[in-house]
Amino acid sequence: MTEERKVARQVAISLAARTYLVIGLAAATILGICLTERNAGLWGVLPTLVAAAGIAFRWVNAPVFVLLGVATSMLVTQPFMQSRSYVADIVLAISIVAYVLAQYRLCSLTIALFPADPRRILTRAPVPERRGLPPLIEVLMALTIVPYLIYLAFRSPQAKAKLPTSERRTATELPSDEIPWALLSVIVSATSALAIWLATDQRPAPLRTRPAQWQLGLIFWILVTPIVLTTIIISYRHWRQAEPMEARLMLADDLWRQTRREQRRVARWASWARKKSEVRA
Amino acid sequence: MTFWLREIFGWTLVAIGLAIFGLVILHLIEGLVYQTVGMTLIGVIVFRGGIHLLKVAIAARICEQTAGQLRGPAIPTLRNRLRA
Repeated sequence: MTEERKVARQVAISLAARTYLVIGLAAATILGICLTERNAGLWGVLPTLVAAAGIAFRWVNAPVFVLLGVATSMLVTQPFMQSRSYVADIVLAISIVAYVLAQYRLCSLTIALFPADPRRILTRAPVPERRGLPPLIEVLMALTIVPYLIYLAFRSPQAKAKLPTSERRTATELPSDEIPWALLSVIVSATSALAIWLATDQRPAPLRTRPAQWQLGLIFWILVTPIVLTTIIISYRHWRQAEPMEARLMLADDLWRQTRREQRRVARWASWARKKSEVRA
Repeated sequence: MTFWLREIFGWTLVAIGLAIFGLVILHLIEGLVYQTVGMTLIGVIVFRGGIHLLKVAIAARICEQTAGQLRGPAIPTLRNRLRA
């Protein structure tokens, strides 16, 4: 690879990361405005601050706290109430989806796509044991806390296991039309959510349930079928790519599950016969 | 061949399970809650049965293919020659 191409790829990654940073910060700002418009008070400011800090300092877990904060603020301000404006709702939805998308894609470009595998320890050498004192002296020192703390501070440091570094996305994994497609997916998903919400809006709520709660339940059921269908298609592809040993294990697992009672009965009788023959002998 | 049949039956059961879920949704939209309880149970059982059939059929097919590859060519005995 030539030096010019390397530089061009680095520039592409840097440009994409900067674009996601701007999208995330803009989404966090819009999120704050939407929550403030709902008179959420402190609960309107807190998720915005967490979102902005999360995207600035690349906190991978920030979206979880932002979502929890937004849910809490909405429950505090208008618990299970119908919204006043659909426009405000869709803007809020778009800002949240755009923020989450930007946060995770930025992290994939700058920190890691997936976390490092903690099971793959690279250092094969055994971890050296600390050169400790005899147990009796350690007990005596533990009784007097201050000298023991001094001892802990100055004892020989333990060698830490070296883990493999996590991998970032490379420029080859960054298509040129990724960002327009990402923005389009944000708008399509938020619009589809609003369409489903509007479609289930006019239905009467039975059994004295609140309309918004009933609507939420209906949407859950409407989403269950496509999610289940997607899961089965993905699982089918996964099963088809199974290694022969995996397939054998699947069959063995099923055999044990289906015949566990018979196997238990046979094993019990075999054990009884063995014990009896031993007694006779 | 039996594995393919099992796979087809598995997909059929999965489709029936999804159709039952669809019926549950239609009933819920109409506000019929109690009628959907039994249907949901039936749908889950049929769907899970289909998935199980699919999984076992695929695993058995992979094992059969691998066993066929391991067997290798037939030994040229007198009986095999006569069959040929």
